[in-house]
Amino acid sequence: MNHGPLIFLGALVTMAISWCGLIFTPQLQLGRMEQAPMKLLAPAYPAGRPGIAAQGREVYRALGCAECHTQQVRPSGDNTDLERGWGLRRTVARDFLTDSPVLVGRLRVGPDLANIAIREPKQFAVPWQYKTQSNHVEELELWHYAHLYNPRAVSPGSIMPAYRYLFEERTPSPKRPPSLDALPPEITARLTGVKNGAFEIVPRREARALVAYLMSLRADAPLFEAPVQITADAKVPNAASATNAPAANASGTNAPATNVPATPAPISK
Amino acid sequence: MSVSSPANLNAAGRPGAVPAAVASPDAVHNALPAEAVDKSCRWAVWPLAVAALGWLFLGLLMQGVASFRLVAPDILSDSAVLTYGRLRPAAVELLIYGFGLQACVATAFWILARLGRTQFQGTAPAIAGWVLWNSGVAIGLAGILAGSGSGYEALQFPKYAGLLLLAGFGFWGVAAFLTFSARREPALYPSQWFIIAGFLWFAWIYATAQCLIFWMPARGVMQVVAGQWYLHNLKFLCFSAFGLAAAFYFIPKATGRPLYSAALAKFAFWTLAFFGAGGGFAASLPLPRWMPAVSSVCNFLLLTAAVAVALNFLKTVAGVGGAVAGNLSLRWFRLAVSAWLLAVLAEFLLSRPVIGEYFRFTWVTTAADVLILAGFVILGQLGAFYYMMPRLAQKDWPCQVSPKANFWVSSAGILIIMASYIGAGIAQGRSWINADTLFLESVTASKTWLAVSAAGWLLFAIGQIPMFANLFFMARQELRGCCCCCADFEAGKPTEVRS
Repeated sequence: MNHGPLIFLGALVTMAISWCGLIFTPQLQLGRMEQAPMKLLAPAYPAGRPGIAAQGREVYRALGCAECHTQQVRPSGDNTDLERGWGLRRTVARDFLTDSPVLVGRLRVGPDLANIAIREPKQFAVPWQYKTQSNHVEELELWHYAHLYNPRAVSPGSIMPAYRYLFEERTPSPKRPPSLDALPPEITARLTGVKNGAFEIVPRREARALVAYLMSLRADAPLFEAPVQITADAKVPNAASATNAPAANASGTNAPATNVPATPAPISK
Repeated sequence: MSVSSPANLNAAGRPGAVPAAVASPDAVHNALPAEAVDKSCRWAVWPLAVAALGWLFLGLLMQGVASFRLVAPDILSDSAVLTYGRLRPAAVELLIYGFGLQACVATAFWILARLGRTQFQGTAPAIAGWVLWNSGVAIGLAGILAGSGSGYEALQFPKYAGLLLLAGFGFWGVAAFLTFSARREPALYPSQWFIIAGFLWFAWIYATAQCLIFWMPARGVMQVVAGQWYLHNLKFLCFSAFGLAAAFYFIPKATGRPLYSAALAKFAFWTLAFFGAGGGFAASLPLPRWMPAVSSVCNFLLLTAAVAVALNFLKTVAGVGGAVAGNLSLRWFRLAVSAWLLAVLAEFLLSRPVIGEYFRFTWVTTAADVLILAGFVILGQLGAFYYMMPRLAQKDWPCQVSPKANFWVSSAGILIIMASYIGAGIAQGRSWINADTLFLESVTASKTWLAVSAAGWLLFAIGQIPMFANLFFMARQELRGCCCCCADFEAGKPTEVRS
């Protein structure tokens, strides 16, 4: 018997069922999603990332960072994502409303980055400590620069590739005065062993954008579908509130966190 | 012994040997002899097969280098082109689009012509598709290495390359449809069901994914939905359809007996069509909870298709012994079908709450992908090529040892890759389940395994060299043999024509 038309029809109908169920229906549900209004004068969540962070997302995509890093915090269950301090709550669809592409990742060769902007140094893959009481945003940014330049200098045992091509390496001379944007000499010395400012590491625009993107990664706004429970003993990791910048997220209140760092801190001199 | 010995070719390559189970007797007088079918396919299938093998070698090599980058991150680290985040997606794209789909289409063309007992009808569109598709793959590869990868697994090729691929596949679809319509054997064999559906399904899912991710980017996580839906359907619908079509065709050929049950094959087709298209959403993804739930159910129901396929193959090959059991095509397909069955099982287990959550984000999920993309697609299509290519060239493989070397080294490579990824994944899972252990410990624990996996990929790549050597010798015979064969040709041909 000739079943040709039956197969054509069958293949089309089954695919149509799958398409309607798993593409069209989610589009009806997710495509209508709006930003969540927030209390206390904060912008609706999620606000779009600031320009340089949005450019950093392109660097993140182009270098394939999502091959090894997820941005998915799982709800509590048979996993330790929340206990590890990787987030205050699970990540939900709304967290990615303003992102394109949405780089949620699928493999954790390296740690999850959904909340890397507000992670406590002791919760990093290789823990470290802030040296100062107040300049935490700046210290965190410098840590990222150092880590991108030479991951194994700050995280011994890491298998992340070094991204030295995101930096300009230069030797100051009378004709070329030292760059104002160069990493501090003590960090350069730690990364390369060259002291006395004889050698400079200057982040290129791609590196700045990438770090700005990383510093914008925080999915911690309390949402209806993903409430944040703040218990008395739980410490709210919040790098931004430790600076003298206006805090975007006061601990203990229901104030929102935006996807935006409170103030884009200047690159340290 | 080799499958492609002339004796075997005559015994199993005769048209009618396979579709006997479903063939209608009145059609046979129309049928074109197998040799004539092969001849008509030659210019459509041969370029696809050779290009696919080239991409396969390059892809495996790049995957090997990428894996070594994880083990020795400071070597080759001065260039963005060679960073892991570009090499690895580029390699996977080559294995999926450069080899996988192109090889599936090449085999499908040949099977459609053979089972239809007709001349291949669309050589021109097939060649046009070949040009578009391969330029798409080459441009897409350059795009990923230059930093234009999309960031979505299996959809990394930039927009412009995706358009070329879609256009190329459209031409291939036309060629397949023309050949299918021109068939002289109206009764359909299960392989034809799978192939026709495979062409329709891939065009649909690829167009949908391109549309929602590149042409009119959907809002927020809808892009993830489209990407995951595409990836799952690519693996469990399109590759499964093309690969099972080849298996349903070649296993009876290799064993010399008809398929145990055409009805079971059709049952597998319908269960695959309904449930193969329903999975792909892991519970961890930031999506509404009903989506992983639906996925999990569909993955469970897909096991019915796996049972039907397993039963059919076990019954078909049951009791074959001696020379047939050692048949090369059968060896490749035995491994490929086992890989597919395991992949369906793994997909189900990884969508279960406890096991799935333990292994989510670990290398075990990569092992599951390798199982279907390398174990099923690469091994199965290579098995098909070993049967198909000598018949297209109308000459035997020059070297009889090299196919065996190719088989054994490839299967050893796959086993090493699988074992090392599973080992790495278990090490990660054990480390993560305790919140007090540092994340770095999971990296340290999996490092040795990753080194083994890199060796496995390189071994797999090296395993393909015998195949190329064989092809090279075959081409040289063809070229050099021209003059010596002329005499035979002149002597033989006229008698045929005159008689």
